[in-house]
Amino acid sequence: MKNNVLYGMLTILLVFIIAGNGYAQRKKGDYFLKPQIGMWFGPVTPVFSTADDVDTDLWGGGFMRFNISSLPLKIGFDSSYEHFKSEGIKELTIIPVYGSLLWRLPIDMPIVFQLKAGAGSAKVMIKPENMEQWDPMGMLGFEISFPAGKWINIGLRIDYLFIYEEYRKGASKNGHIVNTGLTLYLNIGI
Amino acid sequence: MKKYLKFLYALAIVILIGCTGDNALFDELSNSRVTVIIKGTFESTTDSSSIKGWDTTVSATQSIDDSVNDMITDISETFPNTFMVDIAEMRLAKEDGGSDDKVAYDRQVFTAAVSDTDPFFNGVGVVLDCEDIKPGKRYGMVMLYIRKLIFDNATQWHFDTSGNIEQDDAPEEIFHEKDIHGFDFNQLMVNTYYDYLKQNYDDINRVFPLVVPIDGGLLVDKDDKVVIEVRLIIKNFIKLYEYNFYNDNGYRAAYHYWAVSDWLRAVEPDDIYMGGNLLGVARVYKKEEVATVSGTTASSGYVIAIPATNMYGNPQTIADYFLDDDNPGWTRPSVYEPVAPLFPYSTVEGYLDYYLRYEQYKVEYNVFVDAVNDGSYATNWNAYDWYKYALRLPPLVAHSSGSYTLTNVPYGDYLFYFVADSNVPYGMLPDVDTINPYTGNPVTINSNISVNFL
Repeated sequence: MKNNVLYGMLTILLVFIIAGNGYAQRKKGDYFLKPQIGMWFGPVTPVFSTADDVDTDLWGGGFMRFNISSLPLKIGFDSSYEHFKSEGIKELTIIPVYGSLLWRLPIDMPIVFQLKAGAGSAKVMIKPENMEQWDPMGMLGFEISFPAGKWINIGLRIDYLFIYEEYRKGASKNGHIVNTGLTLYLNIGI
Repeated sequence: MKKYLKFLYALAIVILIGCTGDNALFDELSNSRVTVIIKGTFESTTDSSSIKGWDTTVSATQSIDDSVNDMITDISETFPNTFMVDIAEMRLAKEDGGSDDKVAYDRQVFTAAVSDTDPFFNGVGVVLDCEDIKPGKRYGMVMLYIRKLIFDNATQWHFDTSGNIEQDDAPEEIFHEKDIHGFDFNQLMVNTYYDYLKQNYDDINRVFPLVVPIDGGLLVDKDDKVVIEVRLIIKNFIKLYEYNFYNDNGYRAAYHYWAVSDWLRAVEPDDIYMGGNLLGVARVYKKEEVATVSGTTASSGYVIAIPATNMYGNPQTIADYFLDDDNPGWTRPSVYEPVAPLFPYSTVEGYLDYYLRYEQYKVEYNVFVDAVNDGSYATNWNAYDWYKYALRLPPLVAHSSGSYTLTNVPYGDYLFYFVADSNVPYGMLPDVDTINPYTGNPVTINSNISVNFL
């Protein structure tokens, strides 16, 4: 009986040591604050009026990010390649290039939650007309990630891309895309 | 902090320079420069006064096919009131049928009243929603994937145990998810009778898709707005047919249904397949580059115009379009596998009739075997099929009751012809021998003009 109590206390102590050490380590070195590069891959989905013309496909993109000092804010730079087909001969290709500001939610957990907003341009190409041009665009999104060692974070992202064209003469439509993907972050500069 | 500022500058530059071009690409993606119009008339004109009115006479000499032979009940048959079409999709293909592009892939249905005022039959046509087509690609045919073609006023009959004909409830079909009275003759258009003679007839389908040649082909530039007009010959081109069925208990029944005329490929009693008789032609024009041709004729009839040269620049005449019933390939070969007689009725007369027919069947079958052995069976049927394929329908037609108006004639050189109504009876198209050329051929059209046959 005595031994059992002793073993039990030792076990609890061990758990505290391990957990406490892990907690202390996360506090000590938050590698997510480091500059990052990364990539994502997943379904790209036209929504609203764009969904009438083309269908969902699988594509991906890349990004780089810097933390602003020790604030919970990052500046990001994203680009991707997204090619949409339809049942017929319509095709839409979008290459968004945009900057974004990411705000890390102040939740004290190893899992990182980020809200983001951005703006930039998107190269839009359509078939069968074979026309292309750069359009201004905006982005709103959300990311969730968790560390997989100090070099790597793995996460999920959801972005809504708004490609603004309605301001052009004769235009009545804008582009609406939702990107969802698995994301791999590399924390560099460690 | 400086590096962040630099980065922000770079970002601002990207945003500012990122607006090139002034096109509405998402509108362009959504809109189509192509309009597809489907009509049910031989005439191409949009002038309703230049389209022959419906002749709704129901008579054995006109609109009842000779295949209606088992349960003849003329007085109970009425001309249809409604025509229904269910189209799954439309594609455009090259002239050889290859490299097809889907341009309309959402199912579309149409219901047309059998009247001279319905758009499907008055020259206006119904619009089939479709996408853009590829600029610079030469298309040669429209492929219409037809799911159903239904006329109402079909009837159903059966022989009772005494051999008397009794009328049943009207046949039902499902059209656009609703039960309607009518008969879907599209299911019998899958094979021609000739196809049915071939071992691979299961692999042949004449209506899924229905291949409609585009007269002159289709080639557009990026900015061209074009109309593709597809005409299916329905108006004044339908007949009443009989479809027999029976079961092992000796129950015999028949549908009488309305379907397109068998002018091109004769349907004979007890034939099941009647494919190859849904005739169509497509043409293309640019809305900004068309003229209207009007004129007069000495009698009522059809004014027909064809391009003076074909899509390859070679001269052509009306003989490149219509067929000649003097040609040996015109008449359906009389050599074919005879049909075994149906089960006898449970009467003495019924059995006697059955055995008499069975003896006749055996004699006919021996003749058939001889024809197969000496090769004449295959030769005659192949010649027949090839000749029927040679039919091309003219792109431009108007009906004249003394005067006519032919609209949407693309600029170019044309040959005009006239064929009198007396040479185009109900349910038939003209024979090439009966078509007379305009004395002023060829006619160059680059603005509205008159072409008078007087």
